[in-house]
Amino acid sequence: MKLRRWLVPSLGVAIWLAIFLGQSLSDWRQVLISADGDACLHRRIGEWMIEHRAVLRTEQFSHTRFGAPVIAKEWLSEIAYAAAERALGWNGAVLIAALLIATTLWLLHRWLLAEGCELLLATGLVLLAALASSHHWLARPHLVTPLFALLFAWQLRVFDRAHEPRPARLFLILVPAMWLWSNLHGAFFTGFVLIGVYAAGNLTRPGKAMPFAALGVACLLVSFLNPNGWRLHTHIVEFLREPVIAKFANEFRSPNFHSGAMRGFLLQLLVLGAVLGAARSRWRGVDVILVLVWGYFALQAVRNIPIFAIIVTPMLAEHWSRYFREARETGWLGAYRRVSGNLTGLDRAAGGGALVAVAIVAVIFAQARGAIATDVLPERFPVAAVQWLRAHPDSVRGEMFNDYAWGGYLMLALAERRVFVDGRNDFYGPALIEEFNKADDAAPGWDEVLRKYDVGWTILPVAHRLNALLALEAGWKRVYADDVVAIYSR
Amino acid sequence: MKSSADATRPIHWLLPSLTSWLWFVLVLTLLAQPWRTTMLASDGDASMHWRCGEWMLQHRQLLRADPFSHTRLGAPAVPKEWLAQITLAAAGRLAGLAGLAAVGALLIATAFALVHRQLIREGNDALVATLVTLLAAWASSAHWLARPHAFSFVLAALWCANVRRLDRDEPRATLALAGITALWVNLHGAYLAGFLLLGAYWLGAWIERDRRKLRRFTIAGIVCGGASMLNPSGVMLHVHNLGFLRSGYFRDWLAEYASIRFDSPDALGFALWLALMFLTLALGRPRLRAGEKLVLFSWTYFALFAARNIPLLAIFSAPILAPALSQAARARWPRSEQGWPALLERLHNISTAGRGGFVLAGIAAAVIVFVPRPTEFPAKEWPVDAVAFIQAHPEDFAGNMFNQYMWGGYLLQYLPEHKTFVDGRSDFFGEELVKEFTATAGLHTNWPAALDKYHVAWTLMPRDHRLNAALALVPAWQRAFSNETAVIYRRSL
Repeated sequence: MKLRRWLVPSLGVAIWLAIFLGQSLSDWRQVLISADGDACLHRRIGEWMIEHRAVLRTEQFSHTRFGAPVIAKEWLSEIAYAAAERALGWNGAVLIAALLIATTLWLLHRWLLAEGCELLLATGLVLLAALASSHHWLARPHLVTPLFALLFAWQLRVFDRAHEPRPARLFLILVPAMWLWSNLHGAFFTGFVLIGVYAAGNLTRPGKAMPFAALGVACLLVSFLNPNGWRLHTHIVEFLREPVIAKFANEFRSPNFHSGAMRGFLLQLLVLGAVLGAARSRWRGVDVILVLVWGYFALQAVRNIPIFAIIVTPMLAEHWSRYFREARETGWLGAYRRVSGNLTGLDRAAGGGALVAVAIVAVIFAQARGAIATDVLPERFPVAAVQWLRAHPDSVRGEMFNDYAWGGYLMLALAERRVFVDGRNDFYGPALIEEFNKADDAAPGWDEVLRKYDVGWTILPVAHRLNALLALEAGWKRVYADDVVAIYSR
Repeated sequence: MKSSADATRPIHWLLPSLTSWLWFVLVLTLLAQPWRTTMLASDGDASMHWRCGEWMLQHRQLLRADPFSHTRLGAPAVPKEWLAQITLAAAGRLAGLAGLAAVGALLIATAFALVHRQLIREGNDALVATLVTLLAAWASSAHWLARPHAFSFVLAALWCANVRRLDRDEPRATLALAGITALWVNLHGAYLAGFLLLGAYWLGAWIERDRRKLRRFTIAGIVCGGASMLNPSGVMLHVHNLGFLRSGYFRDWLAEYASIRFDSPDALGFALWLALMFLTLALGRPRLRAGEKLVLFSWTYFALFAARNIPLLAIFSAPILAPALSQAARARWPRSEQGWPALLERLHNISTAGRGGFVLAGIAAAVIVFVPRPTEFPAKEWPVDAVAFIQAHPEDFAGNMFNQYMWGGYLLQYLPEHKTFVDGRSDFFGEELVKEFTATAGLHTNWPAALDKYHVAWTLMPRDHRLNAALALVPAWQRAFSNETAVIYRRSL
């Protein structure tokens, strides 16, 4: 029996294996690192910190803000990614991302089963959460946030519902987790929002509200234990309050429901609506607040959708479970119950820990031996142009003006030159972002921006509007072009 | 209930109902600034519809070939909103822009007054009905514009009330729906929304296996389908509208077909409406019929998909949400003769018994006719001075124009002696021409192509537009006019 438990995967482990192997072995691995330039950006920063054995505190990579003070808000993630990438190249980033995504979904599955959700329903809802979150599956530090959000949401919910709550357990798990989270990714504020909702939802029950409030204070104090102390918090708050910067980044935009990437989120909203209409079961006050708060955040910015997906899934499980329990026995419902019951018995006897270990070792082995090649997609980044620049270093002089999405790639692939801008819009600030926008938008005054920053050459997508102006401007000429990129030099 | 008895008292013939008060407050609000200007100047379409209507009034015929643009001059046009355009033009003739604003205000206020009246008639608590209607109005406010779609708000409210009458086994509602259809197909293209609503209730009856209702909805659908042919283009109107809706390019390109941005203050009312829907379903736990559930799901999806559907979601879902909220309010504050409940009781009686709406209608009419309401397009956003410059120097502007898309409607009305490149009638211009326009305005690789193809002699674009930056670098083009709003470039001869 023991051997079988190690070798036969439970459905939760099957989900883990499918996600982990799917992302590590399929073309998805290229998308994980190529969706934007930020995977490159974090790798470059992490690499710098490993090389210099120091946290990045002043800017090194751009000419527009060279030497300016930097808040390294994701320093630990960046070092972790860079270390993995030193060992395995881009496969290292894929490995970390696949582990984080698969583990988050596996834990979500475990959570639903722990709350008594039927196996098939739990599996369906976890896959739905995966679909809703998948648009934001990128090999970047933010992947730790859904994992920590899940940990917080799970533990807070358990404490909130316990007849005999154990505050010590809550503190022992979540306070260290908050310390780690605040050094891994800037969205650790999510944890405070969750604690705040539970505290607010228990205002009429001081016995519950007080531990939540104390937990919030403890987490706040421990979150100051980072290289920037309280300045990290003020930096993040200022960033979130700055509309120019926040709107500039795609992931801070409101969801566009015309996009196929939003279908998972739409489907999850539909399933939420369906359970409200069908089950008519009583919702707890805290859950109502959580849905309202995180629903609003998700509608405000697509980057919040994965957190919404994780937080709402246990509620969907609870209410759909109740609906199925109380529903009249019909043909299909009876069949569903029979299948689910049979599978649950099998699932309890299954495990699959050995398969997980084998999968991880096999993937790392294949990656290390070069059997799995992973690199940024040349149709999304100026790969050939960078090679040409390296071969013809004298063909361009002066500072660079680059496409925003390519900034991270250029930081990494063309490390000997400094970029105009990259994905760190919180670092560049609204004034510089607006100047960049003016030139990037080819609006009147674009040439003043280029002059101000001594821009001697541009590297932009081949159909970029600024190229149309540079083609007309005396003193500029196109020195390189391919299907992806055009380089103009003064 | 005291209301029916109270209604016979003479005083109630002078006392306006709560619905009338709500209508009155909305009318006055919309006639005041900034709404008066916002309804007209949020885009160029109010002017465009006015110009189309004016042409029809002048020529005493429907607009069947384009007389306004040089890019598609003489091309066949489907007059899909002709009655609304004529109404707006008639108001424009009487009072200029203020007339258009008055039509917009009356339509929007009437639409939400109809929603309120429906909620009251369906037995909802007066306070709940009022708050729900106000929130529905707020949710819709991003789309409060003096354009034909404001007629759709009124007709959607009437349609919804009659579909629900049909759902309550009142067969005479079929005739009312047919009448509304005949009017709607001539006023605005959103009559298709009515059929979707009817379809949701039909599907609900099918799910519930209610054969009698199913037959009734089927008959209503067939009758209304027949009535929808009563328009100048017959079935071609439907073909045209469906073809436009199927265009993925336009759905992505047109601002009002885009999903609303929840990070904008305009979305707050809609966000609160979604919150109200969630709270009603999660806490009120109403027992909804299948058709009502389908309406909530489908129209929430449509509203998330395209911002222009938000008002229709609010109008269609208000009567579904209100009963649960009324029930909760009555459970919380049972009727009594004292205190807050007594006030609510009185409010309810006023709202149902008052018959004095004509008093407020008279005051509103007096305000519209006698109170001066200077209304104009803000010169900071619209090329008011540039148009004056062109009109002052007609000899310098002999050739074809290339204009900003959103300014097209304004230019139709205020610079009628020149033909535009494009205006808000994207369905008429078609994908190909709009793509040519976008290629030039977006400085795509072939950006000068459309300027040459359509023999453009001068451009009129916003000051910070990138096309100005490009033309500044082309020796053949010279800047002829510039102010803080607009820049005109002219091609050298």
